[in-house]
Amino acid sequence: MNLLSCHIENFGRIHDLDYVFEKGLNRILEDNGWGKSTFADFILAMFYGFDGDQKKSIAENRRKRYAPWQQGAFGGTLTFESGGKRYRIERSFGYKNGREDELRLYNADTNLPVSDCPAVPGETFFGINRESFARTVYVAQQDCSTEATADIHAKIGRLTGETSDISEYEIVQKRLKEKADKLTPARKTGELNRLNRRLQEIDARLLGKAAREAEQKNAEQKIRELHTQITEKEKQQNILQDRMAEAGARKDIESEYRQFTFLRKQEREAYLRLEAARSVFPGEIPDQQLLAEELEAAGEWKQKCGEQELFRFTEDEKAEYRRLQAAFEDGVPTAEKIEEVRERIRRLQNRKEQMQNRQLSEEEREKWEGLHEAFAKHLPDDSEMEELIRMWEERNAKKAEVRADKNSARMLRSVLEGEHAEAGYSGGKRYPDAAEQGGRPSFSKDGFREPKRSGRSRREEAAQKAAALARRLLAVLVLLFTLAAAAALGLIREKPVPAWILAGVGFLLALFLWISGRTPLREREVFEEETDDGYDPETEEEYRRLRLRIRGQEERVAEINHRISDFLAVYDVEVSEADVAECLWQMRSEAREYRRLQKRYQEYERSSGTAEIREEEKQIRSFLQWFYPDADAGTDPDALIRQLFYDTGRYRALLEKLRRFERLSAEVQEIQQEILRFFNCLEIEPDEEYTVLLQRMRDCRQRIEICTAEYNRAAAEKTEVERKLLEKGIRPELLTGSVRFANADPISYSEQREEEKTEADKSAADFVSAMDDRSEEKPEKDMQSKAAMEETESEETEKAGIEEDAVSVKELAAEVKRGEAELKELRELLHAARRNLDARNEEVRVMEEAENEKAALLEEKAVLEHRYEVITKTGAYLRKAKEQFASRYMDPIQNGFEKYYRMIDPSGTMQYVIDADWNISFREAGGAREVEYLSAGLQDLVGLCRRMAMIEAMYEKEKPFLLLDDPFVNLDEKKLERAMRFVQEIAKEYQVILFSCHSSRL
Amino acid sequence: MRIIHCADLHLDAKMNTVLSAGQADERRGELLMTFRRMTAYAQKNSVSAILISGDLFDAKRISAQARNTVYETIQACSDILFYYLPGNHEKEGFIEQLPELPENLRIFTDTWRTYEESGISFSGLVLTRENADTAANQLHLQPEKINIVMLHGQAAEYGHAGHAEYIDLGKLQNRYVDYLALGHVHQYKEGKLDERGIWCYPGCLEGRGFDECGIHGFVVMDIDPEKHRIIHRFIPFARRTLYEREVDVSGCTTTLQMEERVENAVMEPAEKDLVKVILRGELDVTVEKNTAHLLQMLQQRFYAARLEDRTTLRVDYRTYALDASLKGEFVRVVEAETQLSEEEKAEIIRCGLQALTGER
Repeated sequence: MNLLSCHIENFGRIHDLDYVFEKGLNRILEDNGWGKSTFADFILAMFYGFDGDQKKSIAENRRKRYAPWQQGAFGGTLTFESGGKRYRIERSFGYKNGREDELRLYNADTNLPVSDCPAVPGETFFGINRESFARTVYVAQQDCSTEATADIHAKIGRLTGETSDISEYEIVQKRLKEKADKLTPARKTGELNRLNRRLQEIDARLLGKAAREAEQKNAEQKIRELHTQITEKEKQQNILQDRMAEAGARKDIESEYRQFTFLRKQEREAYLRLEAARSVFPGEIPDQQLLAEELEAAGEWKQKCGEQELFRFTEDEKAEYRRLQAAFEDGVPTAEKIEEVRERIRRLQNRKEQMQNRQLSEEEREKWEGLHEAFAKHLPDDSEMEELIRMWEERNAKKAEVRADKNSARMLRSVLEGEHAEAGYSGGKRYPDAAEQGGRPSFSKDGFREPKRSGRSRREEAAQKAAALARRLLAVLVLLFTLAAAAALGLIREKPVPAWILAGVGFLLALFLWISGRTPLREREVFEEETDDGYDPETEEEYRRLRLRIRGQEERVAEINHRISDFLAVYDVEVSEADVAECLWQMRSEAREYRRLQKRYQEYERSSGTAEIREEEKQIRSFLQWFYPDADAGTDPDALIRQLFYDTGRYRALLEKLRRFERLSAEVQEIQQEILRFFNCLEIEPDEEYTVLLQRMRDCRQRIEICTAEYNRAAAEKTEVERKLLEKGIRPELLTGSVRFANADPISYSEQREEEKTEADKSAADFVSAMDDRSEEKPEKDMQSKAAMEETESEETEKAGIEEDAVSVKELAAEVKRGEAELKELRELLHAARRNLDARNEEVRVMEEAENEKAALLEEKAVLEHRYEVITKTGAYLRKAKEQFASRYMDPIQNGFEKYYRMIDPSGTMQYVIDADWNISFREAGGAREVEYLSAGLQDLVGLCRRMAMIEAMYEKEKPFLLLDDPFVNLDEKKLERAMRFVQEIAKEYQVILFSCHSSRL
Repeated sequence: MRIIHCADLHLDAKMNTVLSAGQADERRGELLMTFRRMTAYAQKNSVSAILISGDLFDAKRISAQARNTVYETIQACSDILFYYLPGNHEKEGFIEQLPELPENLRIFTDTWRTYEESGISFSGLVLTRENADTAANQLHLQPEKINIVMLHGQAAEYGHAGHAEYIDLGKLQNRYVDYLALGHVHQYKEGKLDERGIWCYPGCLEGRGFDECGIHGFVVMDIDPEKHRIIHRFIPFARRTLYEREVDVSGCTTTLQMEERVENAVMEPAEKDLVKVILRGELDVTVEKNTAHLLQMLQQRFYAARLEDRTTLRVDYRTYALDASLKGEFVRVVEAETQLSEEEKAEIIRCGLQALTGER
């Protein structure tokens, strides 16, 4: 491959540079800072693009480093030859990252773009990656040595292309290493390491398993022991229970014997009490029922005595009774009769009241009489009065109208007089108006009087005439004007309708004015009579009409006046005109009042019936006097009848009371006799109230029953205990009933009873007196007997042969109780032991689960370890394969190296060896030495030779170009000379582009 | 009279390592639940008695929950009689830990004990080293009754002297045994004892590991004492079933092909079951095989799954003889190694080839 030319648009500080390459050696001598390294990197970038975009430092981020400061297109073109073809790469780079890069590959001969433009042209054309390119073809400053990359290896092995796996060797080893690292036991992140740690944890936990299992066993053992102890203890408890039962049985016998003696004593005491109770009754002892009946009878007697007293007459009652007895000597009126009379009295009173109600009062009567006199001649009814009132109101209205009309007439009159004055009139009648009259109409007996009329002035008539004349003239003028206007409208404006309308209106207006200038006919006649010489006829006409109306009104007014005055005259009433209305109203109300009073009076007259009332009064009084002859005639009968009613009731009550008293007395007597008979039977002399005595007797009887019951119960209990003792084989002499009293010989029961009976008699009196006392005080003698009895009992116990138990029941019970407590404690311990066992079981279970986990982990570990071993071995064998694979190509490299080194050092004194990893060593002093021992310059030369050897091995067919960016900086003059000779030699085979800033190194 | 015969419940036992810790706990709970379901079945189907022929609990320890569950279940089923024969490893651990013995629980010990109920006799003996040899001779049964005998151990035609775990069937013949209710074997098995009776292992109620694959449950007996007849049948009752399947993946070149074969092999198990698949066959060393994927597929489909890869790799060395690549070199290097077995060689080669081809 040869570079042909390039154009750098902008790349670092290089701007718009064109360069044509030649075959063989191309020397580029430029000063420092020109951009030689930049040029070399441009070529590298054109084939491989930029790497290190993520790096931040300029040195590592070549894009950032070479981005042109002046902006503009960042890139250029590169023309080269490969495989007999010419190509041109056109490339522009983004300023920030590769996404903005543009790459185009053209066939330089046809200028057509190459299909399937490779993303990295360098890899396609060189068959190696960027790194490998950099390590072989591109020799940067002070970088003559090189390491063999996988690509280099692949290239050297001539196994380029997609089927090559050697180039992936490092990646493969990396993968294997990653796999191994994931599994490795050496690293914390390794799965095996994790497993081991987990297993250690489990082992640590399981360390205590034996102890836990031992605890578990101990817990089980403990439970078994406790079970055994509990079983033993239960057995012991059963034995104790049995013994306690036996002891209890013996104790029972003893207890029963004591009980027997006690019961016997009780029986004795009960007998004594019984006898004492019996002694209360000297004779026969009545039974409870009889006593209860007698007590009830005594109670009834007492009650009846009390009731009797209630019905005994007091002194007042006696006197009252005598009185009433006398009053009702001939019989007692029935309630119905009394009620009847009372009803009659009530009706009578009602009647009287009604009469009083109907009767007019003094004032009313006086009023009635006045109104009667006033309306003696005529009593107007409401309709008549209302008619008069209405007429008067009409009259007032017409009067007002007349006044108004007269004013109008006066005006007309003035007009007419004005005209007449011109004509020389000086007479004429005229109607005076009210103002000229100067007076007011008044009502009197004679009727209503019209005020006198006064004459009218000639001047006024003349004024009226003038006014009428003016109106007529005005009417003519209006007519003429409207006609003219209408004609104008019709002819000039050609609007006939408005013209006719205007004409009509004008005509009507003129007519009105004309008519208003005329006077009424009559007046006109008067005027004609009066004047007949020259008034305006229209005004006159009007005036006449007005006069006529006035006259009509006045006639009506006069008519009404007459009517009213006639009416008032009937009553001789004289009022002024202003008071007429009020007078009429007053009269109307008075008429109404009169009618009302009249009506009442008439009703009163109709309903008086006085004779009947008197008759009734008489009868009633007669009845009452039968019973109350001394009653005053003026006494109110109602009071008397009430008194009678009361007295009859009272009399009956007293009678009843008397009867009841007598009846109760008989009953009391009877009961008393019965009670006395009862006492007599019992030979008891009652010296106190019967009930008290009988109650005492009843209590005694109850006491007897109680004592009898007590005695019987004590005897029964004693008999029962006797029987039990007999069943248990107690000696029979106790059953005979002999008993010892202190200081007394043994006696039998029967004898004892006699003796005790004497004692009972003595204490009976005390007993009876203390009967009501509920306290159970035993006689002192009994108390003394008790102590003696107890002493005797113990002797008798011995006699009965009751053995004392060695261990008392009490002690046994205590022992049983202790046993129960111990048993309870043992059970609690058992319960705790079970809980403990449960806990130990749980712990062991957890440990067993841990063991399970451990087993699983061990299994997993075995698998992983095997896999780890496989991976590790795989890596080793791969390495071995790779070495074998590489070693196959060692000879060409070695030969190539020697060839190129001879170019530098023809003497060949140093012996160099390249191993499978392309490491160079030299032999000196019998051993292989690393090249780092050589000087820097020599190292560079050696590295260069190795590079060339590798390149030669890599590129058999097509030689690549070589980029040498001032590689001989470290060389001294002598070596430099060799190096230059070396470069010239290789330039015979390769295109070499040599950059330097010093001519000596070119 | 209807009777249930069960055995080897192994309640509270530790589970096979195929299960996670959570699943193991769950299974233990399921074992307890199966016991309760069995008692519910008994109540629903008018069962009068339940025979437990040993190993009700696992040997070493009984958790409080298991103990209380069994105790309270027995108490709750007060109308059912429980005949409990402790296994030779159980001893009296369970009984000792009870607060009190339920009235409906009847225990057998290391001496023959017989309970009579409605014309049926229930006899049982905990076999020990001391009584194993003489056990049969000390068994005395009445021929007119239905005789059910409970024992726990391995049935054998001939006895093993001094070994408590062996039951000499021959010695139990012609002793009027109608039904020999055995326990110890975890699979359902039955056989003829003599002309009169049979022996029967109901198997365990639930499988706990892949050594207990298949159907599990209990035996139900309908007994007519008057007609002297026993009709028995096996009732599958386990909540989950374990399956083990061998799948030959020979000829498969991809995981997908293997997956298809595995799926075909596990059509029968249900989602709730546990499945173990064993891959067998010979595969080329270069075959694409992802057993993790296959296991994941199984685990997603079933309650628990296990996969064992027992395939063998086959390497055709001849194809690499002239391979000039690193791969060829690598294969030749491994082949030439004498320290490795063929299996190891195949594994290394496969690993290397996978690495070279970029497989992870």
